[in-house]
Amino acid sequence: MAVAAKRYLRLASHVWVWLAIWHVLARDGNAASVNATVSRTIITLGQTLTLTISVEGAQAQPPGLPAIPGIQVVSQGTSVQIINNAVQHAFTFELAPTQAGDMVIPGIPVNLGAQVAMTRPIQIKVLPPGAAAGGAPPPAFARIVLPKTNLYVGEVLDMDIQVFMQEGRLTQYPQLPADSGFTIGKWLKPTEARVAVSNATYTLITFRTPITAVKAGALTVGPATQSIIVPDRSRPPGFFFRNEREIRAIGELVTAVALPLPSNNVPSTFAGAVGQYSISWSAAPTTVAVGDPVTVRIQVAGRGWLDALKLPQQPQWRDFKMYEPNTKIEGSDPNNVSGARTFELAVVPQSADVKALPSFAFTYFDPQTAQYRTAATQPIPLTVKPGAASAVALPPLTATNATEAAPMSDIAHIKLRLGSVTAPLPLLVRPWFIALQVLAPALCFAMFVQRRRADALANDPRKRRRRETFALVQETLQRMRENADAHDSNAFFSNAVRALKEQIGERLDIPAASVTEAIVSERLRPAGFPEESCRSLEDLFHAANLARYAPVKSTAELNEQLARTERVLGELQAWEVKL
Amino acid sequence: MIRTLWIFCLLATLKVASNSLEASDGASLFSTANEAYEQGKFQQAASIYEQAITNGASTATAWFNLGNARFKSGELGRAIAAWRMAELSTPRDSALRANLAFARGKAAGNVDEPTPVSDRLTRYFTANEWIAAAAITWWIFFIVLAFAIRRRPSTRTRPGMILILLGGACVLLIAAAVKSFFETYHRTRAVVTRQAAARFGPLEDSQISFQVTDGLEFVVTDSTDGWVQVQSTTGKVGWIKKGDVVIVSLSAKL
Repeated sequence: MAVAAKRYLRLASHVWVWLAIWHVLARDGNAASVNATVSRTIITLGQTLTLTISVEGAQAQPPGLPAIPGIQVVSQGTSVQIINNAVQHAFTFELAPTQAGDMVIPGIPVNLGAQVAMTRPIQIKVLPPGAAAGGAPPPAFARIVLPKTNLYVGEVLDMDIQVFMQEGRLTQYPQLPADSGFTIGKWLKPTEARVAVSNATYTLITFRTPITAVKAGALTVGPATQSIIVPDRSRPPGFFFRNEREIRAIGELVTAVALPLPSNNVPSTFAGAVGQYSISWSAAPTTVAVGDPVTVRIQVAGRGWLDALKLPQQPQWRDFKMYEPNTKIEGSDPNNVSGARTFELAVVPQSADVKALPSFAFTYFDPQTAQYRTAATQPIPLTVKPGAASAVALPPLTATNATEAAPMSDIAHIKLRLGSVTAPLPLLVRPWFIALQVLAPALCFAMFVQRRRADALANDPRKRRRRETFALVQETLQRMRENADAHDSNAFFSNAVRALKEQIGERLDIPAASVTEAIVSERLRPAGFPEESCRSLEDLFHAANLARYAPVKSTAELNEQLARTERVLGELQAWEVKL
Repeated sequence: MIRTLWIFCLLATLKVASNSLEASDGASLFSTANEAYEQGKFQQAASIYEQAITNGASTATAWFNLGNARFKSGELGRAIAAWRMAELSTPRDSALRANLAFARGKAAGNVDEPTPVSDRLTRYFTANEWIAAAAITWWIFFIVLAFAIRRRPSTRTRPGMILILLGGACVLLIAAAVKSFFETYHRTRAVVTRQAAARFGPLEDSQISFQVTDGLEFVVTDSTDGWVQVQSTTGKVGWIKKGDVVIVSLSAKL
């Protein structure tokens, strides 16, 4: 018995040791724990919740959230805590639901290194906007409103985005996802009102814009996200500025069905216009010749995308040549969704047989009646006269009259050498050129004047003699000066007598050789020559006679005689003798 | 006096240097534009040609090449306008005349009106060539006249046949020079650059007189804010927006 007891004790101790070892090993393998929690399981659309994945006892990679239908990730973060000698990693995700209803956040795989752990799925309930979760009304929510969810491709609808907020301010227009299948216009000026929802008062701000479907099928518009700045009361107020935080109001997406336009019996005058339209037109002048233009103004008024309107082809206008129109839009809103578009085009009648401008047809698709409608104008009578010059038919080219010239197929190539700069100014405005051209006639004129004077002299002997005598006298006086300087009395008085005789002969129109001293009393004095001048002349002649026998040596005396001679000669030249 | 002379020489040198510098800038831009043209970058080449012309390379060749670049870019009217500028200084250039004829043939609505002989003659030479010819004849006339004045027996003798012929030639050449000068420096022309409407009045609401297309050429007879009045060779008159035409004129250079 004692032996059995000892054997039992030995076996138990072995088992106990192995159990302890296994416990330790097992405890180490199960030390990491992964847990997923949400801040709340019931929220209102427009609010956010926080998903926290905590990992304890292991090093974990930040998990990636899979795509969850109806939920979008707003932000994420990581934190580390040490609690009771254990390190805890927490991965947080802020989630915002995009639609109301019951949702499931699925299990999320977390990579722990040696193994992957899955979190448990979490159910949440998203209440519609305005509904209070847990009794408290939400601070803000948004809503997308469409007048109808069945529309035609190209049809214009006014979409409203209503933003409800208890307090705060807006800093931007609502944001919508791109590539939704809709063309969205410009936002109109928002309207504001105070409304009561679920026992709470909200400021309702309505944003409106026209939208139109660009393709057929099921399309979604939204969700619309509106950023609102609200006071942050979780922090003590600042000294200068109050603390604020941003919240988001999200409008649930709306699904609409865009129907294609009917493809049966589409009129030929349909050019894609969808809406409700009316048409009017005018044309002037109405009396033209062939080839002259007529200005046609067509106005299309109504509701639809006026920017996209086009004039349809008019098969009955084959007798007219039409040019590209100029257009003008007079819209009553910033998106030109309603108003009028005017097309102005020139049409040219090609024949004198044209009697009127045919009716202009404009077809559009009316979404309200789901039918193609055609608006047409009344024809405008025209009077078309034959053209001023009819075109003459050219003779056809034959082998005998065809020219050999090969027509150009392209322009000549560029030139590579720059060449000289072209003169900016013409010659006609350059002063030196003008002066040069004036010089030619001026020289010619001068030559002509000289020739005329020569001819005049040739025809007037007295004038010629006067000029010659004057030149001779001047020359003789110069010689007398030289004689005086040289004390040459004989030459001096000889020149003096010569000058006097020439001058007296010229004045009396007699040969100089026939002039003597007696001429003074015989001809000059009776002709009225001044008495004093006559006496001076007589003195000069007398002095000249005396000088033959008693030469004057003194230069001063000779110069005195010279001055007296010059004076007398000047008096003779100025004397107008009456013959 | 010497200091004045030095200052004058310095200023003249600076002027010549600046002209040379400007011309060299234009020459390098011209080469760059040619390279762009050869690479098929016609719009870019046209832009650089315009810069070259503004920077001193205002030559007939630069205008010619600009016209080519514009034509290749599809701008028919602007091409014709550039070639017309080149034609003012090199009217007998065969390549230029061929290009103009080619482009005018492409301009829709271009009517090949017969040009009077006098117009064809005056356009065959530049204005300065006509003026120079008239000036030379003028001088010859007056030299012969001066000789005759000097040599003939009397100023009342009738002038000889040579003088009469020379005088007549002088008058004709002066008339041609004046016409060419007026056509070149005082006649403003417009070349249409895109399809547009010529209206009876300079208003948007005026009725359309006739349609004009890219490349058509007109004589400008009047202008007002934003509009020019043009006249065709057939006598049609209408108002076109200035934005639809290119004005070809040297009157601003006078």
